[in-house]
Amino acid sequence: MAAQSPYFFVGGAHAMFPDSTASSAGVLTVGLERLGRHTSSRIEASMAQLTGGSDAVQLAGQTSALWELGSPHLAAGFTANGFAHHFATTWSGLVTAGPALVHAGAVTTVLDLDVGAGRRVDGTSLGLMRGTVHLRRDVSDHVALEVSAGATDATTVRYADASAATILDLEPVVFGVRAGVRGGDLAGPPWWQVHAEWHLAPWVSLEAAGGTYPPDLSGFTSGRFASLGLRVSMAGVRPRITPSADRVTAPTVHAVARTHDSVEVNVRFAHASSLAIAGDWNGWTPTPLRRIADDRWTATLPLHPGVYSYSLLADGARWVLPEGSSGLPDGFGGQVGVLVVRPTRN
Amino acid sequence: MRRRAALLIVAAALVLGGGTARAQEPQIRAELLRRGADQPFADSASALVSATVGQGLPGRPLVNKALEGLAKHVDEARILVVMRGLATNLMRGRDALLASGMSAPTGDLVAAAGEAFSRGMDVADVRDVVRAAPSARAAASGLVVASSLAASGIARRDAVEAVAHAYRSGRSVADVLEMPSAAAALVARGVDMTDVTRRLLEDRDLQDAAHAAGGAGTVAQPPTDHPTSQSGGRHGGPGH
Repeated sequence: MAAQSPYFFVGGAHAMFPDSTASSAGVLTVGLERLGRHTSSRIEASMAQLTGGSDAVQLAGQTSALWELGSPHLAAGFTANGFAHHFATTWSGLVTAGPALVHAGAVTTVLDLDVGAGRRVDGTSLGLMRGTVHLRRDVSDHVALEVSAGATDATTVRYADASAATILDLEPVVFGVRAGVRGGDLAGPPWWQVHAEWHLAPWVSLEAAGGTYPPDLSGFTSGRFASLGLRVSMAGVRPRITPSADRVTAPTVHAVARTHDSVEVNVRFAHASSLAIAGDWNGWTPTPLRRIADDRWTATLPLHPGVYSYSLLADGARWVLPEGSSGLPDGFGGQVGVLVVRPTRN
Repeated sequence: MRRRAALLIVAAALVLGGGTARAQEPQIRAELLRRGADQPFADSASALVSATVGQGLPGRPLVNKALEGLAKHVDEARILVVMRGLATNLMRGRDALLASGMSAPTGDLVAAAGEAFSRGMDVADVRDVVRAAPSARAAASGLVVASSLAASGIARRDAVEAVAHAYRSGRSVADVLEMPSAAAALVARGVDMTDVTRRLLEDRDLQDAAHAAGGAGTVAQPPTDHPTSQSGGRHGGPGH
């Protein structure tokens, strides 16, 4: 079972190009994000209606799969990306795929190797090989830093990219600033982008972006852009797209106080078709957990901040603790976990 | 003088507690029967709880232990053995608290101390946490946290010292409650247990690590073919 989240984005974009021409477009995007235990994928279709009367259509997809390599912080798998773009009488597209390696430590490191093939807007075809290293450091609950570097060897061009980004998550608002440089045959001036999301509700967010971008493989030149729109997620929660470090670093049990007497408990446990939690707060009466993904479960419990003994009841028969969590002897030959409910930060 | 006051309070609890315990016994028996206990077990367990409460000790930890055992379908004879052991440890816990200078330990604190003994702590461990903690609630939380840290692989004395040091450094109860997840986050990042212990003892990275533990969910963006594809910039591209 996997969490699926259909979504659509409606908005507008304005682009300006080096030859001083510009265009504006209304944009409608529909997509589907799917997050499973090992895989995540996203597919979306966008239609842009330009103010000049032309229209454009773009199909894009992205998928990845990761498996832990005998350690909770090392995973390997593959990623695949692709897009096809049609405008007036021209079309272009690119598909890449290759292995990925993720190490989640103090710094999350993603190594990605891709081979690919595509078609440029001028009708010529291309093949490519690319290697990328991506580093991310979560400095705090609210701030993350990212650095990426990559090299691409395509049929007719070779170029290298380097970029750095800061993400500031001040829920319900998220800001991102990213800047980079592309050197080699597609060299251009440094590019920069800013991006903001305002989560108006769990299922809707207002998104704005702007900045510059460099020339790309498919034949588009560099330019500047600004966009604004609303994203509506039908499932209410927008799953993240991998290569995701979170699935190899996420705590196995996490309790967050919602009010002074209500706690949301999130549990990571894979090997069960049903799961309940019981502990000394209610005389060990199992409370069912709701499955929200293959290995993710949640429940709201009437707990005050403090520490509680607990165990999980899997499939109505097995008393267990989540993988990787430390337990205390229960005196009966098994173990109990310790559920820590922290006070709300505000 | 303080010691005499403490003994007087315990004596008063013994006298007053006897009646209360006997009054609760039918309710405890009914609760155990309702959860599937056999009559003989319910009688023995409720009598043990009554006797424990009658000595001025908290009875709820014993009831919880009985309910936990019943929920886990543990043999009832074994549940009784474990309950008796816990009752003994509750008494040891109260004695350790009194010896630490507390004149009137709360039921929650006695329960925490008793369970700390059940989890392998000794009098010196309980004393060190209690003396460093700014309040009874802080001491109770500190004992559980120290037990948790010890269970995660940190040497018991180091775990106790880390908690005591945190309180002595002015850390709040909330900060101390973060310590197990902070330690787990460090372990998940590949930090070896020696360094985890050192960092906890030095109180370094406590907040950062705890934030990281709670902040998982933000995700590294995958490499993309086009820098603007993350931001909607491609939407403007077709016009060129």
